Amino acid sequence: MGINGKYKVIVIGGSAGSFPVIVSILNQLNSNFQIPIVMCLHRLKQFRHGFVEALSLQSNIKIIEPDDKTSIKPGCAYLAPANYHLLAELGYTFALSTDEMHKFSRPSIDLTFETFSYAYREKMVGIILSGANNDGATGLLKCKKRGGLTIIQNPKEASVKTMVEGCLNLFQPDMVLNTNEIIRTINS
Amino acid sequence: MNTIDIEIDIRDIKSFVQFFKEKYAYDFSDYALSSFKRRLQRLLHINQLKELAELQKKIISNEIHFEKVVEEITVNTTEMFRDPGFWKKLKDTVVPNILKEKQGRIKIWHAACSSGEEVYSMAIVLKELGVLEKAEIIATDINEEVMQRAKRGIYSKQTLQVNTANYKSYSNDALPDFNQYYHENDEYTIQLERSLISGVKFQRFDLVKGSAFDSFDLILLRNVMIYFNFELQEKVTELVYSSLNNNGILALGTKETISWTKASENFTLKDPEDKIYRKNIRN
Repeated sequence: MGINGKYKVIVIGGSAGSFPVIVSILNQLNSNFQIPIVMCLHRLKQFRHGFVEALSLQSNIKIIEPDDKTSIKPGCAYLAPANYHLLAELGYTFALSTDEMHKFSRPSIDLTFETFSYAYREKMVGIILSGANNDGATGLLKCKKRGGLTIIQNPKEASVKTMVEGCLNLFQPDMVLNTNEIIRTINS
Repeated sequence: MNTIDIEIDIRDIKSFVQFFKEKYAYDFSDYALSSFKRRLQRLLHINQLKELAELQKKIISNEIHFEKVVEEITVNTTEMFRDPGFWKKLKDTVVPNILKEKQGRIKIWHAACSSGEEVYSMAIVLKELGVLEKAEIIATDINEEVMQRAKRGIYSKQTLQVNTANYKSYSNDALPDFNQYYHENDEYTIQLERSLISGVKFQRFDLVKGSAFDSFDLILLRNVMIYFNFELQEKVTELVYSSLNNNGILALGTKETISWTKASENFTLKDPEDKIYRKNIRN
């Protein structure tokens, strides 16, 4: 059985080097893609604008920077806003927070993954891509422990390996994939 | 150990909230769960405890003071001129528009002032518009401790980099540097200029329990509502509504909205990007 039907959310974390991968994924989603995609990408807080627009250029689905308490809906991709942590509540709504940075990051991938895996349990797919620090590894492990499907970008392909290697240092994720395999998997 | 590795059960959160509500005059029942849980994880982490029951014991025995708990539960990360574009709008349009309509003093309420950074950002905006003396600024917070810090106007030098960069971006480099507004206090801290501080009135106020105590032309409630659930957001929006003059302005955080509250029909969203609302004139 494929991803569709089995999972209710796909959460993607990435940092340095993840942008082209994210663009490829969004660009090659099936046109009727129904699972909400939540992206927590490290970004500079000075650049509040332009990121959504840049990602939207080639995306097959709508990209939104969610306001606090927005419902998480199928057919949309959501991007964590600059300078906020992006969290999930139990009723499948977004929650935002401006609290302390985690691993020098806000948004922090660990926090997004922690709260999404808590709300979605085994209905979550967690994907960690290229990145230059180890934010995300603990969060992906949470996803694994709560029964979710865990995927990392193949370190051989990732342009900056620190983030995916951080995951491998903690545990063995379910799948280690190249970009085109990630796309094939989530389209399945 | 990482804060997110501390598991906390929702039932334990509920009983802790109940304990705190009965014993002290703070009610966190309507705080948004996800971020509230993170605050508790953090509290346990910094006190090296494993579960809320242990924390509760230490609060009862006064090993951990309950006001300290309140201070940790409420999020006090803030910056001067956070979202510089918002402050530029305040200076270029929002405040000048209020001044045009208003005879006499304008009244401004910072409804959760934390350590004061946004209060003094506002004071700087008013000073640069030449109207600081014409304004009455009231700053309130749930936590006495953090408000005492705000009153002093002393900040760590570590904050200077962020605050100076924000100020630069707010002023488009057109104004003198941010350092005109402070002097060195000691090796580690700076002291904001007296004139920014002296006009601000501080008082303790809990948005959960409080009711309208004055009417204002401008209320800043930025990045506070995110920590509340729907019910409390509804209640606070009503409180804000009854604390605003006709045409009064409400500024929320850039990613906050009151669009789903009943009271929102009494507001017009003037700026969707920076979440600036105007109270409609009552018929």
